[in-house]
Amino acid sequence: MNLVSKNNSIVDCARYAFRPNELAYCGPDKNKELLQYIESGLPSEALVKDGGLKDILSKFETLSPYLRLIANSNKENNIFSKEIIQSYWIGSDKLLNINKARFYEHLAEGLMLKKKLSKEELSIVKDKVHEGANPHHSFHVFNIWRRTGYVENPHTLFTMDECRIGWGVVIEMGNNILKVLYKPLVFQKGRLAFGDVVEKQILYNLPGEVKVGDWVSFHWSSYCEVLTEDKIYNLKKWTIININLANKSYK
Amino acid sequence: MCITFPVKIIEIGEGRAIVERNDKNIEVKTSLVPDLNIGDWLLIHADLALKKITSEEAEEIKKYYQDL
Repeated sequence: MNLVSKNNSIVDCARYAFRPNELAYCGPDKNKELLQYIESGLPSEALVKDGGLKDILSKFETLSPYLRLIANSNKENNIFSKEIIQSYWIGSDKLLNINKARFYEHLAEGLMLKKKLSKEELSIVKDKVHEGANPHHSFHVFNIWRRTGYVENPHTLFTMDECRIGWGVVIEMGNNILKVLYKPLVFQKGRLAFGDVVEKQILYNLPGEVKVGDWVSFHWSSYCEVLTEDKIYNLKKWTIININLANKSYK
Repeated sequence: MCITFPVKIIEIGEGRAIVERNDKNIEVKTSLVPDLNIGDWLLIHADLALKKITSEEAEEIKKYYQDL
């Protein structure tokens, strides 16, 4: 495995994974270390050499298998390469290169959905694999969930909106807080959709220069990074693909 | 697991609050949720308060989790 490639993007991955990891809900109880790595300002190449950050992220129960699937399907040895990290969190054409059988195996066996879901629920997941499921973060958020029951439930909808990678434009900056305009997830006429533009406050406690007018991504109301036009396009495109896929379950 | 939990505020400070969750007291960041008082209910993810909810909503969410 090429661990010292200049193509590493392990810090970007940590920025997106940081918030869900707090109090060890989605990963190992190493959050202070994770933050220290992000705040170190060291480039990804140096951090990959160090090994500690890679160890932490490799232990994330859902993230790591998804990265491995995308990397293996694209003949990439390094699961923390820029392209693989971007594919999972933001989206890219690399998500098109996933073998359906392999993807289903990843879900059923790798993520143990065979044990966690009922036969009926697993059958729905299997159908989705044949209908264009992809290993983008939003696929899991919108299509593999067991939270508070039905999607019409406001709490479930709120949780999905927070759990997806959101994007918005910064209109105001305060002390560790960014005010952004974004379109929230809504349930409209029996389908998931984007609602009207609203203001939202997000926590800005990770390093990175931001200014009013920047488009930023956020995860669980926490700032992740400033988005380029290309990233906005991909994040929107793959999020919509997976919303549409989820809507097939709400016929 | 990407889930949120309803918690009740038992102590409040600047940008932070102590809340009760599963009989344990934990500290959460409250920067995103203004105008909080002791006894208010919050929806939290990890150590971040995301929004204020009513006690009825909190009970409803807790019931959903029990039913899962």
